[in-house]
Parts: sequence; C-alpha cells; structure tokens
Amino acid sequence: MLSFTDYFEIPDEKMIKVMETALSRGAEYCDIYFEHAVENQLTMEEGIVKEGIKWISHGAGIRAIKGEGTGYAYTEDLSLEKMNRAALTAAAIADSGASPPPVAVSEVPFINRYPVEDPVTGIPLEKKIAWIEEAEEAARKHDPRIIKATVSMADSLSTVQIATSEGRLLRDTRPMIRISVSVVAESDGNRQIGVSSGGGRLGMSYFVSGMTPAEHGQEAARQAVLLLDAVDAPAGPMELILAPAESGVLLHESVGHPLEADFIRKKTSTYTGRIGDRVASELVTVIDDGTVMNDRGAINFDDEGTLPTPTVLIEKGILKGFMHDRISAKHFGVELTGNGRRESYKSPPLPRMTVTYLAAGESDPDDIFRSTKKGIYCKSFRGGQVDISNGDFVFVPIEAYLVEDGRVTAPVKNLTLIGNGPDVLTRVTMTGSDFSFSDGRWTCGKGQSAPVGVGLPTIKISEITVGGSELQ
Amino acid sequence: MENDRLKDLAVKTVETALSLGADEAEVSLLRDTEFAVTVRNGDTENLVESGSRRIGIDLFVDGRKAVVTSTDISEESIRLLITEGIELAGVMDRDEYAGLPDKDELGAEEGDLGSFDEGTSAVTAAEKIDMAMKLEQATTALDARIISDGASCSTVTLTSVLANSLGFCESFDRTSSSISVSCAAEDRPASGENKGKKQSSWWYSTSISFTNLDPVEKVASRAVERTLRKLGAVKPKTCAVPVVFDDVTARQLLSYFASAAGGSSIYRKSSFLVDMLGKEIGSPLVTVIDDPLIKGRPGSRPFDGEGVRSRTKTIVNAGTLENYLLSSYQARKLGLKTTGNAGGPSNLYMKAGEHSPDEIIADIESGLYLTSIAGPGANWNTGDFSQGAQGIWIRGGKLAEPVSEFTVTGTFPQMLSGIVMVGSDLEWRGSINCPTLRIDSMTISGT
Repeated sequence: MLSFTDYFEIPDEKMIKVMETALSRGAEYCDIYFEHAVENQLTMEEGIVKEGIKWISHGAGIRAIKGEGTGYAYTEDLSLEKMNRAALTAAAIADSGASPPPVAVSEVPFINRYPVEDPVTGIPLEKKIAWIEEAEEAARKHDPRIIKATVSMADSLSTVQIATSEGRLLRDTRPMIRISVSVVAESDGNRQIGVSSGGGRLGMSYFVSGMTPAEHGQEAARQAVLLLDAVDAPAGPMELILAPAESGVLLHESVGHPLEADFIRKKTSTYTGRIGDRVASELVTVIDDGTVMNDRGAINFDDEGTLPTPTVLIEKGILKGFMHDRISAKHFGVELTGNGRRESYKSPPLPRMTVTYLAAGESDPDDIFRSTKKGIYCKSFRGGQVDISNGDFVFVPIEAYLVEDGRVTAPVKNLTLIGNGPDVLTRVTMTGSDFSFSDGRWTCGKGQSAPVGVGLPTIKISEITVGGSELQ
Repeated sequence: MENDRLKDLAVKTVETALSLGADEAEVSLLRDTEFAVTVRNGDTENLVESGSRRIGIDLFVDGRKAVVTSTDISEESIRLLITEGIELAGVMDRDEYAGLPDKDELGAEEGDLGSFDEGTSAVTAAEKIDMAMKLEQATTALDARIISDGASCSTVTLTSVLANSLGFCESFDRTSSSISVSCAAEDRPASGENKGKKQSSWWYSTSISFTNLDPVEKVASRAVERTLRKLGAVKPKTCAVPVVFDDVTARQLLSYFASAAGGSSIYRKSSFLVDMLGKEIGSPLVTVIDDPLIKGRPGSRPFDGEGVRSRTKTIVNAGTLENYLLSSYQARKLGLKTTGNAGGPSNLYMKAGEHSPDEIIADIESGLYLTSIAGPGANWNTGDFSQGAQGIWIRGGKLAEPVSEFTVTGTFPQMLSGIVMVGSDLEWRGSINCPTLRIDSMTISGT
C-alpha cells in the first residue's frame, strides 16, 4: 500500500508554518488539502485495445476563510517557499485584524468505508485487458445487429491529506473503479445506442460483488437492440413508475441539488426558509449518507476533514435539513454534515451530495404496476438537470416503456421527463419495498465534478409531464 | 523567454521518448495562471489565484499508442513517466491508423491572431474585485425584486507548447477575461406546492482583452431582463407549434451539431451525420463555418491540438454537409484528410440570415420563443432531441406570457431541414455562435 510520506514529505512544523502564513492577515480559519492522484484508463474499440492513458496529478490547495469569504490558492510545487506564497495569496481574503494561531495538528481517527486490499491501480495491465476484452466480446456476440462496441475501464487511487488550523489532520487513500460499455446496434438504417457502466470505491472485487465485465457487455447490447424496436414516446402528462436504484437520478436532481446549503444560504433555492414545511408526500423520506460502504459516493471524511453522517433531508414528507459545508453550517449555526467536497486540489469545497436515497416503502412492486392505467416505466437513465430557483428538473431515460392497464408494453425512445421538484414529490403515491442502491456510475457536475451514489425503491408518481414527440 | 524554456523542455522530452524506445512522440506543455473573484451582497466571497502546469506525452511504439500526463515536470519524473508510458503502449494492440499527422500538414499559421493581450496580466486584483462589485451593484440597482446570486470577474493567461518527433515545435499564448452575474427574484405560483419558487438567470461578457469586456451596465440589464421576464411563468398546453430558438438556445443547438460532426462520433457510427458527407442535411438557409483564423476571436489558433496548420472550412454550405471536424487519426479512419480540428471546433458559427428577431416572430400566430434548454436529452448519436425548456409564448406575432416546465421534442434531421428563418443577429460571445433560428414545427409537451 501507499505511504503518505512517499507523496507528501511535509513535516507537521511545515504545515503549521504555512497555516500561520494563511492566517497572517486576519482570516479565522484555514486548511491545506494535499492530493496525489493516479488515474488509468484503457479503451477498446473496433476489436482492438486502442489506447492506454495515465494521468498523474499532484498538488496542494490552501484555503483561508474570513466570515463567509474564501481565499484560495494552489501549488503543484510543495516546497515551503511555494506553499507560503500560495498561503499569502489565500490570506488576502482578509485584510486586517488578528487571527487565532493554528493549533498543533493531531490525527483524527475515522472508520474506513472502503477498505480495499487490491486497488485496481496495482493490478497487472494484462489482467485489466482481459476484463475489457471479455466485456467487448460479450457485447459483440450478443446480437448480429451490434455494429460497434466500445469498452473503457478507468481506475484511480487518490491519496489525500488535510490539515486544518483547528488542529485536525486526516489522511486517506481513495480507490475507484469504473467500467463502461457503449454499443451501437443498427437495423435498416436505424441506429441505437446502449450503455452499461458500474463500479465503486472497490478493487477488483467489484467484478465479484457487482456485475462482471461480460454482464456489462451483454446489458449494453440488450439495451441497444431493444431500442431498435422502440416507438416514439408520447407527449403530455401521465403516470410514472420508476424502477429501483438508477431512478435515484430523479431524487438527486429534484430535491438533492436544491437542498445543498450554499443555495439556501444565498436564498436562491426554492426550499429556502422552508424547514418544517411539508414538501413531499408522507411516503417520502430522503437521506444523504456518505457512509454507505464501498459506494461510488462514499467518503471517509469530506474534503474539509468532516466525518460523514447520515443526514435526513426529508422525513415522511417534512423538510428536516440541508447538506452543509463549513461555511453554510456556520451561517446557520448547525452541525457540520460532511458534505464539503471538491474536485481536486485546484478547487475550494462546496456543499455536495454523497449517496442520496429515498427510503424503502411498503408497497409490493407488482401492485404498483397493477394500479397504473396509462403511464411510463423508466429503468435506466442518461442523466438529469435542475433549475435550483424554480425547482424545475428534467431527467432523461435510456430504457423506458409504456404501461397500459397495469402491463408493461412497448419500449419508447426520445423523451425527456420534466417536473417541478416540490410539486412532483407531493405526487409520490406508492413506494416499493424493493430498495436498492445504484451501481457506481454517476458523476455530478456543479462547476466541479464529484462521484456520487443514488438509491430508490420502485415508486409511483401520479402525474409527470412526459416529453415525447407523439401527440395523443 | 519563458516560452523558449518550455519549448526546449518539450523538444528534450520528445528526444527522451525516442531514446527510451518510442518510434514517434508528441509532447504538449500547458501553463496557465488564473484569477477569479466572486462577490455577493458587496462582500468578496471567493478569491482564487493560482498557476498550474501539465505535460502530456503521446507515445507510439510499433503502431501502439499510450498517453501519459502529469503535473510534475521535473526531468527525472518525466523520464519515469515516459518509461511507464512505453510499457503501457507495449500491451496495446497495433492500430494501423495511429500516429502523428502527415508531415506536410504540420505548421503554424503566421500572423497575429490577436489572441494575447499584454494588458490583461497588468490588471490588478483590486481592479478585478472592483469590476465584480460594480457589476453586482448595477444588477441589484435595476429592480428592487432582484436578489444577487453573485457577480464574478476572472482572467486566464494560457501558454501551450506543442512539439513532436517530426520536428514541429511551436508555442501559442492566449488571454481571456470574463465577467458574469447571476440573480434571482421571488415568483408567486398561482397553484401547486412550490411556495418558495423563484426565477433566476445570468449574463456574461467574455473577451481576449480585459478592456474590451462589455460595460457592466449592459451585462447587468441583460441578466435582470432575462430573470424578470420569467416571473409568473405557466405551463403551456401540449401541442405542435413553430419554435424560435433565441441566440442562447440556438448556440446550444449548434454546439450539439458540432459534436455530431466531430470525427470521433462519425467513425464510431454514433452520429446522425454518419454517411451524410456531400448530402443535404439542412435547409438551404443553413451555412456553418469553422474558422480558426479570425483575428481576435476566442477560438482562434495558429495550429490545432496536434500541430496541424489552421485553415478555414465550410462545414455546411447552404444545407449540404461539406466537411466533418477531423483530427488526422479520425480522418485516416474515414479515408479523408484532417480538417485541423484535433481538439474540436475553433470558431464555429452559423452565417447570419436576413431577418431581425422581431421579424422572425412577426407572423407567428401561436408559437414558442425558446430562451432556455436543459438536460441530457439532445442525443446526436441517434438524432433524437428532447429537452426541458423555458421560454415565452408568442401570440399574434408578439412575445406574450412566460412558459416553463415543459419539453421540446423533435429530431435533429427534422429540425435542421425545418429551419425556415435565420436571424441577422450573429453576436460573438464565445467560440460557438449562432443567430436566432426559427424551426417550422416541434412538439411541446406541457399540460
């Protein structure tokens, strides 16, 4: 395993010196975020393993906070001189006054949410190539209509060290694996795309506990072939059934983002000032939890050194809390929730989701289908987007079907679903008992990218606008 | 001077790569300095100032390719990186199309492209903070209903150096400045559970030179206008009507088009433009040009991402697809010539038409003026297009009530051939630019 001193030969005294500089102009708090990240990616397409890529990033970001203001600077040169210069730049957020001196750092214990014996980064290249070949072959052989299959496998290992002026020191090694298969099926000039991807904060054991490479290949091919026969989706409001796991995308967009506390602090979210209000049906309980073992969105501590806790955002329909970083928690005088995350040493933290899920209900999934007269059933998704201020959100299915008189019928294509978060969540009329977390495939973009997880049981929404092309 | 040092390092790295076993190599060095400030309610909220660098090395060994990149540019680390890269290339399969561009394609277009502004690095942090403060003040001063979501000012200086084992070695400097402001206002929904509803928008200006940015008053008024005109938005009825894409949404449409016309989508058969070269793909009103040589534009460049000399080309000529956007690898795969588009489009724009935006909506009895599209439902791989949308309903040739929480759906081929009017309002605000467009009919899904 990696040793921290291999990457950051930074004695405590040196970190204290740099923090003294960052506090030299009156900032109240500062921290240093060290990061050494190695990421590998192999891509196979057209039957050959075409390209191998390796990225190495190494640097430190220094942040000084005064009030709600942040000064930030980073350096890739970890000499005392360069770190001090960055610290002085960050210090400039404050312009006078005395700062508390930095406290001597001591290591903070934490529970490891992703103990990995076998990080993929250390696996021989031949082994990784065998996996992607297996996925590619499975996709190609699935059906003669598959004309292209592209497989990529990415793994990373990031070593992080955080020191704060309050004396906290945390060190972590964060593994990640992600496999992705994309195929094109063609028939009579109709071309459709199928994708399957997954992973998590795991080593090669992902392929034992999760889907195998061949299963990803078959799954992508199955979707593409299915879509060759899809009909154009209808347009207009109708009932919606969401399959477990991946449908958590809806949650991430509809309430996840608007409950990130920077938007609340700035009063731009539609949920500003609504703690204690009913914002969803009583079947809806939403939790953000970075402690889900080995999940893509799991964290041992956030990127400002706070340990994660399950945060109840909505309990039985009532708005209970928000996701905070240090600045928003202080603004509202509440406990830190462990949601201060950043893309890399080049960026200051922001309130971000980790693993966001809707808790299981009691309905039998079969009953959910039986009760649906005319609707859409969605199983997998390309992604979504939300307008924080008015709550309008969209999400785009890949695999979706018509539901007619309680039965799943034809697959549909070319649709976007649109709803208004606070309205749609009041229309959750059934929640299934079949909860599961998504496979590790989602990356959230909020100026900075962050790996996240989602989860959901089968749920029914009594009405949502289905944006297809076929007028009814 | 500094550039000469980087060029020396790039050439030396190419030599090291060859000496360690690569047949061909390409080295890129990027160095940037960034400054960004965000102010909100009169206080500085975020101030970032830093510089970074990165080396990227493409290695070819017996037709096998590996890419290694690092932020560490010490000689010792680079040597280690190349060694690892060569090992990585060794386990790849041979790709007969892999390799550097043909030598006669390489070169840097001479002459000043106006991409670098000396003065930008002399602008002080205090001036930039002041600019953001003034922009925020100008915004909130326009209307009492406006809440600030922050105003920003940023500058970037970027040096890129590219060298390869065919003897190419050039550097290119560019600067960029931008200001932006985001704002919101309380909305009062007529019905529904959304009691905290707001409407928000933003506006910006970007330029190579700090002094050429739009005046803060202009940016502020556009941000406020775009926010306030959404207040009281209703959900429209499900129907099929003419749709006018304003210059913001039209620009997004053109950027999707650029992805569809990109060589990687084409050779992967993941584009609705596969096999369409020389064919009619849009209305005769559509002409799209990629021009890296326009002086003073943000996408201008003397050479592309692999050192191919920049040239101007027509992508769509009066509705006929004339060129894809190709790197030399993509071109070889397709049996074509590179278009100098390794790294994507340069300055891509649709040629302006004859009608003002007012004229474009004047004869629409009932239709949609589209001001915002969102979501991942623009699928240029298959040609399907379905997006979440906001806009203003057109009644009797005039903009009437705001509309939101609906989708617009069609397909790219239908939309391109359905362009019945192109606006005269081509404005340069980034590297992809498009005037107002009117499409004869699309499906609106609302109530």
